[in-house]
Amino acid sequence: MRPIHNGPATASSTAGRLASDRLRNRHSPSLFSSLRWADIENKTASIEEIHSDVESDVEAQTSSRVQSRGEIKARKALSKLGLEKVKDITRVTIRRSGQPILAISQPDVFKSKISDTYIVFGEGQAEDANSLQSQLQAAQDVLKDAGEPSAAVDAAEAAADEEDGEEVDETGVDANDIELVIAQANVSRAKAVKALKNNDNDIVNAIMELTM
Amino acid sequence: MSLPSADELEQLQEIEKQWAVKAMHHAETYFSLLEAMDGSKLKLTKIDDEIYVDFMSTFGPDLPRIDILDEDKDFKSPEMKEKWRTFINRYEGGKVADYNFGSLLRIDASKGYTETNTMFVTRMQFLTIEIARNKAGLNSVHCKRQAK
Repeated sequence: MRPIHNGPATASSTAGRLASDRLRNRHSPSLFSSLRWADIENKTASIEEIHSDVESDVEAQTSSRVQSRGEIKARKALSKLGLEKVKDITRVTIRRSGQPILAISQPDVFKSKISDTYIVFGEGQAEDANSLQSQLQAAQDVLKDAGEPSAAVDAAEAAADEEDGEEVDETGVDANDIELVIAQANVSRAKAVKALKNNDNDIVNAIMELTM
Repeated sequence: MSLPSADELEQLQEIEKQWAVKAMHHAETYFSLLEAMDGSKLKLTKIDDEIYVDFMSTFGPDLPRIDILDEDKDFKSPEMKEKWRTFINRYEGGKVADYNFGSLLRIDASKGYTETNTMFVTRMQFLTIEIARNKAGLNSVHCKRQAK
């Protein structure tokens, strides 16, 4: 689950840009900001009007929410798969047995043209199942097919990024060994260091682990 | 609790296959390392020197030939088996990873892993012989960067 810090920060920092960004904000996948935007929108009639004016333009837009590198990459990759944006979806919920409902408000939803597959971008938030029974009922139609919360995507991407980009502590590992493992196993430096540490600096075993 | 004796146990085919995959993988990995860099600069364990000195002193005058191995004389004869066993067991208990794992060793150091040039040894024997070969520069011929 994405930590909370992003929400209020997004909401307050974008508040000043309300006039120019109001359209985009409607599509902000950030749950926290979208909750606030919902309030603001209810009070401000003009915003609603503008929404409908420029609705056709919406496909070209992406959310104004600050996107993580992983999300940007994921969106770019997915955009090549021939996905269509599904309009007017205000909420996606995901129910797992025995766990709280995962709800995404104001999501960006894409559907594959050729199959019943949906990609959902947005920030998920756990909700109490009982109090939301009715909402859930309504949302379930949308959810009959597999949806993927970007919370999960983000988490996976973040993990991948961590492996790729993060500086790793190379203490106790010979730099020559690292180079050798990188060259032989064709992996990132971080992975090479990790494998060497796992295998107690045994080059052969480290490469084996990476190439198995 | 007594363990079943070796005779009562069957060889599980699946495990045999898994071993073969791993042993081949190890052999291939090692050989591609030799091709990528000069064997004499390669470190196989953290205690290469210690193993080498121990190898020399343990076998002394009976030191096996390392360029071309004599399997029957230096590995399979009762006396040498005993020497190997004492030697190998000194590295029990984490000093050398997988010290007892079956590994493939090239009989002739100047040749690659082929069907006829390969014999079965424990990982410790593999390491010992290969460390000695590397120190003697016998594996340097495989390094492709040293074009001749």
